Formats: sequence, C-alpha cells, structure tokens
Amino acid sequence: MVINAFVPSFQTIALFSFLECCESSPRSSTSEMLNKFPSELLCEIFASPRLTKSDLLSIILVNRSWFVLAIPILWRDLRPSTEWCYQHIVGLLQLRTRDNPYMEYHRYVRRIYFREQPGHWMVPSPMRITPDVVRTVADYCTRLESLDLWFTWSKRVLVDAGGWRHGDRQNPRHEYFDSAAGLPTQFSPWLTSLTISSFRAIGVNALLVSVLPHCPRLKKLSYWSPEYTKDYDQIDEQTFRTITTLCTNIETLHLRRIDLITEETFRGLSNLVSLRSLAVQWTRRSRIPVAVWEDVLRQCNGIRELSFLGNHGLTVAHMDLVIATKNIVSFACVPLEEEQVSALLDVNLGKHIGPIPYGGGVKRLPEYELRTALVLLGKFFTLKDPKEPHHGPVEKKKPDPVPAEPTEQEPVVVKDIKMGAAIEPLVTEDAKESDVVMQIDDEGDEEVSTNKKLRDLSSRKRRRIVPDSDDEDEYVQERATKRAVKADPPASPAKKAKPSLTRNVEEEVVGPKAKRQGKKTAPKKSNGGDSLPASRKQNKSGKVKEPEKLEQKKAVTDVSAAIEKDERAREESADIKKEERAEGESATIKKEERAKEESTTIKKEERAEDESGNEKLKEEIEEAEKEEREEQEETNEVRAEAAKLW
Amino acid sequence: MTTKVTLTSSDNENFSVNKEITKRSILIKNMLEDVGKSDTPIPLPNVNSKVLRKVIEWCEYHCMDPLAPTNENTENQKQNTDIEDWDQKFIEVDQETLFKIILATNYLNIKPLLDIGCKTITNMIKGKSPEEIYKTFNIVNNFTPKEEAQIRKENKWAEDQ
Repeated sequence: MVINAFVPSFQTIALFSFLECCESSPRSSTSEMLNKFPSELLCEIFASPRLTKSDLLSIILVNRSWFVLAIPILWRDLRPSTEWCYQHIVGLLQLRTRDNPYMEYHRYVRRIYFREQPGHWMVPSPMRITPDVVRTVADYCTRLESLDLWFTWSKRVLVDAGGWRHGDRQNPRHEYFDSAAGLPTQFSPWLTSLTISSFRAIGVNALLVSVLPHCPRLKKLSYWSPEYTKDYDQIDEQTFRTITTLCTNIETLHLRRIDLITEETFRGLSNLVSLRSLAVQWTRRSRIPVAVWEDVLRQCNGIRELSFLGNHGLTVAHMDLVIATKNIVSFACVPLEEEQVSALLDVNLGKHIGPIPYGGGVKRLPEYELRTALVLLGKFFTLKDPKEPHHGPVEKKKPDPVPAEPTEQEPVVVKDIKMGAAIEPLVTEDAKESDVVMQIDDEGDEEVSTNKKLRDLSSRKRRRIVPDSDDEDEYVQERATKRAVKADPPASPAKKAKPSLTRNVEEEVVGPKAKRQGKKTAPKKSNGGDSLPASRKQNKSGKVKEPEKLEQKKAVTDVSAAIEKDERAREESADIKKEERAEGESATIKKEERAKEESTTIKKEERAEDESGNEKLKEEIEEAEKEEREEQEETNEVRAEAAKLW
Repeated sequence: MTTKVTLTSSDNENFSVNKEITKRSILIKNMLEDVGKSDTPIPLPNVNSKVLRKVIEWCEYHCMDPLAPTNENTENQKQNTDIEDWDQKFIEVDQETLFKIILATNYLNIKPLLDIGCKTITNMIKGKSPEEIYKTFNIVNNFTPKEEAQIRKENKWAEDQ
C-alpha cells in the first residue's frame, strides 16, 4: 500500500493527509456499507451507554475516521479512579496545541469528576487536587459544563507566616488555596454544575470567588463539608453575595456549611428567581427573620425543595411560612426544636418527624437529630388544595378579619380525614365554628380537618398558651361557655372572647397538649362523673356517639341561656346603682368636706404627739448607747487581764 | 375500510401496504400529507425490495405501538440496551442486510427500528479488541504504527475504566 510504504513521523502528519488516508483505505463490501453510514449514526452507536471507556479505546484504534468520531466521546466525561490515570489525564490536558488538532483532548472535556483518594491524615493523597490542577482545568477545558471536586486530603499551604498571636504562641495562618500560588483567572463560561465536597480545609471561599464570576450559566452549585473545623471551611458573606449577584440562573443551591450572614446579604437570594432546590446548613445559629424569608420565598416562587439544616434558628413562624408556601413540595428540617415539634404535632404531622431516609436506610445523625428531623414530601403537600397548581406565587395571608356575626347555616360535616386524602366538603371561611360537626373514624384518629388546621397554623401569629392537663376541666368549661356566648351574643362582653374563624374545633375541646397526650392518658374524672361537659363527652376510643350530638347542641344552648339571664340581672342592678348614685351625689360632697376638715384637725394633733414622742425616743436611744459602751469597756478590761495572765 | 398505499422499491417492486402502517415512517407520513388523496405509488429509490419487505414486516408487527414517543420514552429506550425477543430474531440477518436495514430506516425515518439496528451494532462492538473489530466488520486499519502507538499510549488510561 502506498500509505504504508511511506510512513512520515507522527508529528509531521498534517490534518489534510490524515483525512486523505481516511478516504483512500481499501474497503470490502461491508466496510463500504459502513462507510456509507452518516457520521451522526456512528456517533450515536459510539455514544451508547452500553459501551465502556475500554470499548471506546478499541474503537478509536480501528481507523482514523472512527478515531475522529469516537475521541470526543472518550474524553467527554473524565472520572479517573487511580493516581496514574489522574496524573496522566491532567498531563494530557495541559497540551494546548499539537500537530494533530484531533489530539488536543482538552477541547472535548465536558464533565470532570476528580476525587481525592482518602488516606491517613498525615499522608497526602496521591490524587491531590492542587491549585495547579484547578488552574489547568480553568485554562484549558474551555467547554467544561460540569465540575465535581471531592477533597478528602488537602495539604494546607502557609499563606501568612506572621499569623495571629494566641497568648504567647504564634499560629501561622494556613489555607489550601494560596493566593500567591494563583487562583483561576478564567473559567469555562459553559459551566452549569459545580460541586465541591470537602473533608478538610480547602479555602472554598477563595476558590468560589475566583471561579463564579466567569460562570453566568451556572445552574447547580453544591458545597458540602461534614466538619465544623475552621471558619474558612464555610461559605462566608462575600461568597454568598457573589453567588446571589453573579449566578442568577442557579436552580439548585446547596450550601452545607455556611457561616453567619447578615439579613441584607441573605435577602440577595431573591435574585435567584430560577431556584428550584435550596438547602442551607448553618454552622452558627442563624437569625434570619421571617420577613426576610417571606421576601425570598415570594421572589423565588419556583422553589420545590427546601432543606434547613444545622443551626437554622427557625421558629414556628418560619414553619408556618413554609407550610403556607404552595410551590414547596419537599421540606426537610433538621433538627427541630421542641416548639416546632409541638406545632407539627398540632397539625397532625407528627408521623413525619423521625429518621431521614437516606440511600435506602437511615442517615447517620446524632440521636437528637434523628428524633427531631422532619422530612415532608409530596404526600404531605397533597393536603393542600389539589385543584390549585403547585407552582405559583406565594399567597400572602391576609390578617384574619373581624369575625362577622354568625348567621344560621347548614352544618358542615367533615368526614374521615386522613393524610393525603381529599377533603370534601371543605370548611368554608364563612362557616361558623359551632356549625362544624365532627365525625370520628373507627380507629379513633384525630379527626379534625388537617387542612383547616394548616390554615389555622399559617394564619396564626402566636401560639395560644395551653393549660396543663390538671387545668383541663376549667379550660374546657371556659372554652365551652365562650363558644356558647359567641353562638348567641347578647351583649358586648361576648365579643371580646371571639376566636378566629379558622381555629380548629378539637383545640377548643381538649387543647393541643391534651390532644398530644391523647391515647396515653385517659380523660381526668372528677367526683361523680366526667369533668368534660355533657356536650363534649367522649368514649374511651375517642368516639363521639351519634345521639350525643343532639345532647351537645342542647347543652350549648342551655349554657348560653344561663349566661344571658346572668347578664340581664347584672344590667338591672347596674341601673339601680346609677340612680342611687345620682341621689347621693350631693350628700357625698358635703360628707367629703366634713371629712377633710376632720382629717386636718386629726393630723395637727398627731404631729404634736409625734414631737413629744420623738424626744422620748431620743432619750431611750442615748441610754441604750451608754449601756453598750459600758459593756464594751468591761469586756476590754477582762481581755486585758487575761492577756496579762498568759 | 382501510386505505392502501403502494410503495415502490429501488428495483421497481410494488408493495401495497395499509396506510396506517406506512405512517410508522415519518418520511412516508410527510409525503402522504403533501400528496393528499392520490393513488400514485410512492417511490423509495434508496431501499431495495428485500430490505423494504423486512421493514414492512417490522412495521406490521409494531403497528399497535404508540406513534410519537415522548422525550422521556426515547431517553429510556437509549438507556435500555436490551432488545425484545421478537426484534432480536427479526434483526438476526447477515451483516450486509443489517447495514442496509439501518440505512433504510435512517432514510425512512423509523426511529424505533433504527435504535434496534444501532443497539445490534453496539452489541457487536462491545468487549472486542481493535483487531476483533477489524475482523468483524472487515475494516482495514489505516493508522501508521507510530500513530497507533501514540494513540494507544495517550489513551491507555481508558483501559481501567
């Protein structure tokens, strides 16, 4: 063959001769057929997920045309698993210009996954991701779309020999990315995903601040560090600001761990309007107020997944906000505080508090966090009105209007409501509380509409103080009378006790705390019968019997009638008193004048007596002082004699 | 009453096929839409009668499959490298016919059959050394020894992957 007779050195092969050779090779009938294949078809065959890197190596060695088609696929995704592979690939990436442009491998790289091998803490990993490596990636891989760096061992670099003084010892400052060693000054503008995981101090802030300004297309940013080591391991304020101002196309933002940042900086999250998944883990206790979160969630109304981890500092108000935000379909909060746990129990979400599912098992967390971790997935969020779309702006809850005077309506029946079940008919805003007749399912579960509870939770500003179980009886009676007064308001005092329309009925009956104790503690009984009023009598299983419903209504009306009578009697007595007062006004004025005169004379007499009494007191005090002095003199003399004797 | 369409192969053989079955091919479907109600045969100059018969056989068997797969379905099909038993038997032909079927389906734009053909070739390549691939497909290596050595050396890292 002519081609093989003259073999030029590889470095002198020009691109044209390379392609000419592709055309001039001898072909049989099948190879001719194969050559007729459009290149797109061959590329699709070579890009099959069934073919490994090893298969692709065979393909590129078949002939030149196959090499040209398969080499970009081979170098598209780099995941070196050994030190040799890693060093070899990094070395080849640095070859910028070559005689054969098809061998400039850095042009094909789209995804990099560099993972340092875990080693002893004193022994550096053979696959060290040094600043030089990062700079190589930054300078050469100009079409990079995804970068994943996993630091398991990082030798820190001394960046400040002077350091800071701690007592008499001098502590030089170390960072992994030494600014003198050179941080990336450019980066692939096509980068859409950046993931950094670290088990050691890597100076993530320096790295991110240098990389992010060049990556406007970034859609996913993830930083994860399991350690609470040094401050420079955490995302700081400057980096956070860089993210929120320069990478506004981010859809997934996972920052684990993050240092304290100001409210204003945190509010910058509002710029990330494309955000779909947000996970933040604070190292120190965050104090981002609800108002700021509300702004962020209103602007980023596409968020579907939300995770608060570490010292998130969230309150019940924060939880209310999350639950009221329609577009959120997945919510994780680790750990929960007691107040939050109780609030979630109140809205029937207790079953979601517990271990976090993680890779088919349970994530390893401290026991406390396991007990108080909350993971809410789509199941919970289906409780929201299914007719409404998940996405959409956050509806700002209007403050509860002053409840209108109750009107006569048909009672609304809430049937067998369970998690995830559709609720119909819904209790309307206009419906009276007294009109809601509860039906309890056979299992004796908490029967109150969860939807209604959620609405209540989201609209409420502060939680009601719940009485202890000992005071339950009084509490229940008090609530029953208030409800009765509300149902038939005779006079103004009843208006003061009006609760919110959305307040749930069960809380009215037993109170949230008692409800939580629920099945464990039986309802407390007083002498001779149940402490609960007849209208709220429950059997052991928590069921309310059907005939008792009528009794409940009757009891309520009885109580209201009694209260009405009392108030009428009070009004009558008040009128009589007013008349008496009017008659006696003149007489009382005269009496007061006389009394004043008398009091002045009495005071004069008292003063005279006081003066004489004061003189007597002075004399007595002087006598007592004299006696004391004499006693002291005697004791001194005794002591002096004793000393002489010794 | 089902309407029939006449397809003419490159060797001038006519095939009368149910119109709905021919719509598996995006090319023929578009041509029928352009032509409208016409009894004129549709010429397929790039497909011979042997290959066209095979393609029609496949279309008749898969006539009940959904016509327009969603993006998710096609992605799943790509990920799934398995070939159904019937299709496996269908595609067990000599290499020349296989290549011709692939070229024909590419021309006729029948995506599912094209995927089956590509998967078959992928399976033929998988796990083979370059030398075995030369033999399988009767391809001649046109690299110089130096070229080949350099490419082998620089991409040796892929052996372990």
